[in-house]
Amino acid sequence: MPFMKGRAPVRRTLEYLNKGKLVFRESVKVMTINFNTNQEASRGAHEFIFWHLPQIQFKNPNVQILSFRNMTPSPFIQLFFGDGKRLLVDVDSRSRYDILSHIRKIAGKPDDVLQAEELTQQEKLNPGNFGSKCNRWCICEVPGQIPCPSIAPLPKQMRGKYIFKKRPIED
Amino acid sequence: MSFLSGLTSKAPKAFTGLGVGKTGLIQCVRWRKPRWLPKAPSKIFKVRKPTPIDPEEDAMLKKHFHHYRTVVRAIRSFLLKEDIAKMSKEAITVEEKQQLAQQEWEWVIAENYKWNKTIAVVREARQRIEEAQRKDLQERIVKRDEEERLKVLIEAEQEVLREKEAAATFITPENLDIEIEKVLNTRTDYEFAITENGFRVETETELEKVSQNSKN
Repeated sequence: MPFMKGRAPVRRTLEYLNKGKLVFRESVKVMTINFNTNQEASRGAHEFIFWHLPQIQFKNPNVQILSFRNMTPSPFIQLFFGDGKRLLVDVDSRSRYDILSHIRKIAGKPDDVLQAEELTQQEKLNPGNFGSKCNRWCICEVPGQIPCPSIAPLPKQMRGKYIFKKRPIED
Repeated sequence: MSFLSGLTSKAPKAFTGLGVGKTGLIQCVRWRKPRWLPKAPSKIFKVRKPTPIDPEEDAMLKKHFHHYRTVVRAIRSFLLKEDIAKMSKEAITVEEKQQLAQQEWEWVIAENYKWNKTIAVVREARQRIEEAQRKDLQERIVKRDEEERLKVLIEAEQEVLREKEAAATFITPENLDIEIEKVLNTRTDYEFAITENGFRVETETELEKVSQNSKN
């Protein structure tokens, strides 16, 4: 069945992509990975590209990621920062897990920062919130809800002045 | 009447009853007299009764309200001032930010250096082994080429010797007549048997043996 084509098409699912944990800092602009095919020492780097590159690019759409094959004798990753600084990370004979955790440590946003960002995003996205920082100012903007009393006055029974007014008891 | 009917047909419908629909939900899109419509004749000269205000109660309530609002305003302004002071205390200046960024960068470099160092050990060991293997292979190739070259030389020399030996049996214009005589005087017998492997059988007893073996 040709629905999910290619090797490991799970890498293209939204669920997998959203699970990516590496979110680069703002200063990281370019990531370059050099590795070799048919070299045991490059296997970690190769697998890193195969499994984690889609996740990283998904979470960092503004970071340029390049991979070069069979150009250097040993595999390495280079990170280029906005202020012109460069960082070389040797990944010879290392597994993809080690590589990912190290890159996260040195160039990724820490967990607490990510959590805070997620919270603020959720506050904004939560449709139950109204106000200045949210998508809508007031619930009267939503179709199906009570229209704004400035345009169409509320019925008598819902107005405070009627509810709290002293009325003679009807017999 | 036609004017009114025209209104009712175009405008949204009024509430019926107490404003509760059949399903029990309050319907909120309702009729409101537009501002451009004139006042109803029954209401033109209507003067509303002023709301009865008890003067003592009014004075008391006003005082209470004044006190209450003063207190609330005081609390709010105090909290606001506190908040601003807190924010200004926590605010990081530009130099501090740069310093923090610099410290962070130094930490990053240090961590990366440590990581690279541990890997360099493994990498260099691997590269040394590969280098030794490469050298060994090269030497073997050179040796093999040398041996082949020697072989070829030896072969060529032997070939030359063989040819030299064979040169003695060449037929030259001087030998021609003698050789012709020789060939004419020799007789060769083609009546012989060969074994399975193509070897020629020499004597009659050998022939018997061969025939016996084939029968078995």
